[in-house]
Amino acid sequence: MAQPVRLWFKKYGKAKFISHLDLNRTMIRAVRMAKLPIWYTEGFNKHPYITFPAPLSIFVSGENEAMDFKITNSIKFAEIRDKMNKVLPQGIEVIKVSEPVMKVSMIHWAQYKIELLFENCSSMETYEILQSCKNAENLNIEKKTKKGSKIIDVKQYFMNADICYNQTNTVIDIILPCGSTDNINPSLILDAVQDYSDRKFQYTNITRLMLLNDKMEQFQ
Amino acid sequence: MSYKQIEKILPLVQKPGRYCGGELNSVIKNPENIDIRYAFCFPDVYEIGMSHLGMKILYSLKNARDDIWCERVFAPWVDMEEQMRKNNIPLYGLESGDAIKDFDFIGFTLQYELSYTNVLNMLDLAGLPVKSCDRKDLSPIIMMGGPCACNPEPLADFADMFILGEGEEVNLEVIDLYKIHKKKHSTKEEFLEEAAQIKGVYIPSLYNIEYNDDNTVKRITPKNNAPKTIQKRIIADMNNVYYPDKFVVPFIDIVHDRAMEEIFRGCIRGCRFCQAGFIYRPVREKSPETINKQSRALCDSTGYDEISLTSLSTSDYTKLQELLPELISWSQDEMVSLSLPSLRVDNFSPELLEQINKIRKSGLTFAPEAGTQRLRDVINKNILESEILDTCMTAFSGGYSSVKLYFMLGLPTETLDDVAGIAQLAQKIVNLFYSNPNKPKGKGVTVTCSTAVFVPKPFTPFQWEPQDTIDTVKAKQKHLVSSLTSKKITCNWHDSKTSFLEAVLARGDRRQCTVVERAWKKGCKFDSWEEFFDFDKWMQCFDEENIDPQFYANRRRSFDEILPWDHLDYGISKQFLIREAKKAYQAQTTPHCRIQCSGCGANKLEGGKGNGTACSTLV
Repeated sequence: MAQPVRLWFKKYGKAKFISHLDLNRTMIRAVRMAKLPIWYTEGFNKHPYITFPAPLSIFVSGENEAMDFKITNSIKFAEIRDKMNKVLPQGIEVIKVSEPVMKVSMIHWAQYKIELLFENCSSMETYEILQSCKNAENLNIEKKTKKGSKIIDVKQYFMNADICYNQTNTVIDIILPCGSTDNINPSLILDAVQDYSDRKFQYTNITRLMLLNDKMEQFQ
Repeated sequence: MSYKQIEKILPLVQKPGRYCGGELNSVIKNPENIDIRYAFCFPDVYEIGMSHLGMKILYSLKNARDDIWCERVFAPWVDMEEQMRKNNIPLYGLESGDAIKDFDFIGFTLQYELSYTNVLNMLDLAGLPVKSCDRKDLSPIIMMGGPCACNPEPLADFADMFILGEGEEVNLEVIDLYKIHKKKHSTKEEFLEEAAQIKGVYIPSLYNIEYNDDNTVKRITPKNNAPKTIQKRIIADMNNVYYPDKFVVPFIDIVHDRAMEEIFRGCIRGCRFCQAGFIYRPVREKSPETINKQSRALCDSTGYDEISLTSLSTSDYTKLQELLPELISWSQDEMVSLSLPSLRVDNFSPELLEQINKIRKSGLTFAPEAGTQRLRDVINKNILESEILDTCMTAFSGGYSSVKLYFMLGLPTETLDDVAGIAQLAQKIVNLFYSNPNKPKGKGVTVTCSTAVFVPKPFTPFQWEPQDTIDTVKAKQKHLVSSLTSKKITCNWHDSKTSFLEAVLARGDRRQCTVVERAWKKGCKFDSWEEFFDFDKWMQCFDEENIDPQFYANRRRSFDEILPWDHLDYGISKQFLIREAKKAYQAQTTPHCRIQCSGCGANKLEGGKGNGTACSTLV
């Protein structure tokens, strides 16, 4: 009987320019190189079977990302971690390996940290503009999906965001819907804020901190 | 320049994975411990350049030395170029993010003529003058190599040096010489003059070219002790030459995303149109043990699930029957599939098919090159129609139902009957499928005929031949379509205008440099990409430089004409090429090297047997 395993990893630095599809390929090669006793698909082109509970968008870093697979022989979790870290490219790092505690369908939210500055603005000025966006009547933005596009109001999420600043940066801490039923990409929030404030960002740096269930508990 | 600047523009371009570096097995070194910074440039996009085996070999070879740091550079796609120019980001090495204009060497590999404008564009993006004479400093030295370096004259004004032949040894010799000159603070001229003495190194600025009134070459004169002819370099022993045990594994999907194991160099066949078949002589094989060991190391270090055995003609590897079971013994367990490109129809046995079936079933592609036996004899393809049909029968019985065939239009002596012969051959294959009692059930057959336009190339028996004019090619394409007799046959072809420009540049001389520069200045780049190729603009440039492109492409050259590449020696004698050309006109074939030595001259090269013994006895 194959045993399900959940691997937790960070994705940062140059690896944030890697799309989900490319990450999938990178991970498949890594588990092959690490020679893990991983369960392969039975199809004509057999390949290691891995899934990602919550795919991460390109340009977004991740602190606590999950990847699921099954193993066919017993192997210590720490050994999986160490073997993987030997063969992964820089910017992808396994933190730990565990048994899956929650079902993937329990993912409801994700917490993000967004560092940013508006063009020609100090971190304090950026902070003030962001705060003023909270007073907006709405923060409407067009969300494009495979089925077409629709206008959504992201104000409810932005209202509850914590915003702070230091000397160099302004930082938004925000929780957004994540998962198969409802999903909002943090870049949508940024687009909405740009539209409302009629300003452009000088740079943005988005990191997904963790995945959460519907009770706002960390996904495990 | 800091990597931060690059990072800022990456969200604004397609496929940022092309530009960020950081791939598995990419080599990072501390610049403080490095004597030589080397930028290896492939003048096309990442996905194409990263598929190129030669680059992988030379990248790893240089990085195996502690004093050299070799980085990869590809042509940024137009969206990235726009951002780089807008933000003043010069062309940088993927590993360090440092501007390559400050490197010691910038090397370009010349794989096809239509990448020449990209070479210029990359030099410009690096912030360097494109012309060699305008770069006064010792560094960076711009060197170029690869198959197109066998007639590099259209790029002679831009390169500081060309490398002829195989690069594994000569690259390091050049770097070692440069190190001495760098320490001595030599001038660029002092270094180049001494480098010209290294075998395989061609310094174009040390040769003076004079022309006759009829525009043919009158005289090629070396100066400052440069050798009269420059001999290509080859590796004598394929089992002991450096081969990488690691490939950089790209994040994004590339054209050939798999491990590649080179099994031999050169080709025994001598097809008269094929430049590779002559410039890479003599044939030198790796042993099955070497191939097996290297293949396994590559799979272990990359995680690739596919390995491709590469050569010019894989089924000509003498120990294939010994090698395949060895490879399969581990590859099946590790779920690695093997691919064998470049199989020939005349030695494609049912046993071989069975071995391949164990591996993975993909499409079958054969290259008869010409539709009639007469024309196949002219080009010395040495394949009989019966062999093509037998092979298709074997394939159909083995479960295949689609066959792809490669042909060329415009081969020397070709008539409309030869063109129609392509359609007739395809029809015979269709008929064969339906006559086969063992044909795959419930499936129709598809025969795809891909026709390229013949481009005469230097160092082939057809180097004196005129290329068919664009109008003639169009008429032949039309004739081919009208000759088709079944909907099971699909035909597609290359654009004849592209092939015309290739023919012009392939056998061009130094005067074309001005045209290449003008075309680049007018915005020509990515000429091998249909969406960017601007034929009219190129023709305008020829016009403005008062150079007739047809003089290079469509003119029959005489055997006694001095050719622009006559000072370059690829080990193949001109007498042999003339003999072969004359035999071609009489549709006489020449047996391959293992049946009989045809005296091409390659046996005098290292790696050849020397002393007039045939190279084929080597294997």
